[in-house]
Amino acid sequence: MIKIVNLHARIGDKEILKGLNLTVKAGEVHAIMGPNGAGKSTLASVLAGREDYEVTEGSVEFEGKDLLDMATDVRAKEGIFLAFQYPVEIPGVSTTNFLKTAVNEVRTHQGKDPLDAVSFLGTMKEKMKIVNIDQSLLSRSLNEGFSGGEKKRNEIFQMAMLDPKLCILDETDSGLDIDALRIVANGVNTLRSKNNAFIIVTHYQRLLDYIIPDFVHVLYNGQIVKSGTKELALELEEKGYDFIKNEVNAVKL
Amino acid sequence: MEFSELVENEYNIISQTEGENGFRKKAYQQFLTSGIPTTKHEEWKYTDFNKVLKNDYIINHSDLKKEDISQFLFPEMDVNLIVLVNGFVSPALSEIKKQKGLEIKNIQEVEKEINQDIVSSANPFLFLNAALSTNGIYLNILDNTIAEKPIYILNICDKKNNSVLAQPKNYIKIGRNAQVKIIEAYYCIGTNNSFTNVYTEVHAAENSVSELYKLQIGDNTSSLVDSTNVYQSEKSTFTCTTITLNGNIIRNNLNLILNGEYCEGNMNGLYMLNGNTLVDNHSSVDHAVPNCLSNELYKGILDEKSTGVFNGKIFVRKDAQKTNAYQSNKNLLISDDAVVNTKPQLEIWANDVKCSHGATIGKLDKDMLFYLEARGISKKSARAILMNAFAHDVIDRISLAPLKDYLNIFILNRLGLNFLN
Ligand SMILES: Nc1ncnc2c1ncn2[C@@H]1O[C@H](COP(=O)(O)OP(=O)(O)OP(=O)(O)O)[C@@H](O)[C@H]1O
Ligand SMILES: [Mg+2]
Repeated sequence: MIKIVNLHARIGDKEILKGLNLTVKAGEVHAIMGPNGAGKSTLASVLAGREDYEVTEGSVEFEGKDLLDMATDVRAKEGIFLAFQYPVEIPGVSTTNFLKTAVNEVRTHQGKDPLDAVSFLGTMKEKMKIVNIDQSLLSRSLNEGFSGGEKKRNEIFQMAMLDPKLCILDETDSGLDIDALRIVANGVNTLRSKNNAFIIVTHYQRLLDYIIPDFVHVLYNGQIVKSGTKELALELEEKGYDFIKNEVNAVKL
Repeated sequence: MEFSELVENEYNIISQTEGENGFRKKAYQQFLTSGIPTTKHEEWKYTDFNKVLKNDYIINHSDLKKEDISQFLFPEMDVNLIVLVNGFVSPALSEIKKQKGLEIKNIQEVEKEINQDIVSSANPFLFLNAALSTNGIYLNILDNTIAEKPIYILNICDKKNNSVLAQPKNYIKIGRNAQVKIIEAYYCIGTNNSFTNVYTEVHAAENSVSELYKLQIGDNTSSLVDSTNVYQSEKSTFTCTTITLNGNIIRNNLNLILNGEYCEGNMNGLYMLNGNTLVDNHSSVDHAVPNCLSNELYKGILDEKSTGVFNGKIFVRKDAQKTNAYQSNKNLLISDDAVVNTKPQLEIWANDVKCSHGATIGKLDKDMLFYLEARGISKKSARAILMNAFAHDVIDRISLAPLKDYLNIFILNRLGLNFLN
């Protein structure tokens, strides 16, 4: 699905990603963990197409196409979805309204007919159940005055509406209470299929109790420095990141 | 013909047909003294009509047909319709349904009875209007009357055959406990130039509740000076909403004079501009007595080479204790060539008052744009969605649903946002 090779990215003159490699196949779930400031959100932003970041080296191939060559909206239309760590608030724009535009632009791009108002509402009703989100929340200004948990659930709801191929969840579990965490995890598990893939950025093992990853990676200092299976997450939970940092720094010496 | 020559000729013609009229004569002389203001004049610093007035205008009647004006009507709103073409009332196009307590006339019929105050404004265009205007609307909503239908004053400049100078003047009297909603619209037809110089005077009596909507949707060869003075008595509520979507040069002078206690005066505005359009909103609210509330919100979206000017004056006189006065002007600059000049001007002589004012000039928020684009929305649509959202709180204040829908659709179409409908 996606093949990231030797990716270098910077913002201003600060280099953040320093030769990152990652390959994700359809049907897989990859968890990315790593200390604060390691570059996890940067990776997510670069893949989604945030213009502030400059890719200086490396390549990203998505479904056989050059991802870095696509405009932000085209990436989404081709099937990339980013659930934001910090979803923005947009006064005066309701989720329902902008999603109608989004869904139909995406469908048009994929050669499908746009949804009319009735089928759009029908799809919405169906997807709302997945994350247990209320209609009234979706008619309000986007994320304005939403609680932390509501914002995250709204992200997953949008993901369900857009039916992407590669879902990147950036700390969607942060700030969720136990129930919300279960709801979000359930949502992801419902959407999981052999045709799509997930990159889940998280700091906590507990999300991975609900969404069982196929692989766990540690991102440190702009690179994936260790990869393993779900046991790696448990080990990190127990020991912290120090042992990894020590390993990496020992190699450098 | 030079503009000064046109004014002189026209004044002479009117004087001959009408006979001696002290008010008109005085206004004419005041106009001769003041002339058309240049940018040296502090109040007209950014807005110069001298160039616009170089065009060869004619003051003339025009016979438009019903089908010519149907595009400017609101099919879903039952209104009392008054149509003015080139500044002259057209009885054939107007549709007035009788209602007890509601008087709608051509101002010409009652000119002698009304006593307009033009001097205190020191506005040269008011002098010009008073010197040359012969037509317009006299609207009287008698005490305790609730106007059943909105009053729609549709102004059209027909500039198909020649450039047009239009100078209507309106007098609106809202009685005690009376209620009314009024829409004034300014449209034009044809490709020559037009200059409309309109004056509207509103007297809102005790306990009245009224809304005045101004819809300015001209084209790039139509210019407008719209001066409105509103005198409010005790416990009256008046709301003016000015929406400017097209035009060459537009100047609005909106003055609220709060003369009675416990009044509420609201001024809302939206200007959404492109091309070379210049819109200058000058407003003032004069808190002459205690315990009144004024609230002003103007928002501007400026694209291409458009210019926005906002000047909001708040006066709180010495005796006007317990005044609440709020003002806000927010601007969104879409292109690098668009310009905004915004200036709040507060003069407060009382000490127990609550006043706030704020002016912002910003660009579309990058994080918001990225969020929308990351959902598959093209850059163009994402920008449009954010512009539409920015305009929303002004549009939401409109209480006439068909007008609100009309504007929503107009704005969505302008932005090319068809999915949102
Ligand atoms: N706009 C920016 N300007 C300068 N530095 C930035 C900018 N954005 C990110 N950085 C820096 O890049 C580094 C990586 O940030 P990033 O947000 O990717 O980390 P992260 O791994 O997601 O951390 P966290 O776990 O705290 O979310 C940090 O040191 C951060 O300060
Ligand atoms: Mg992060």
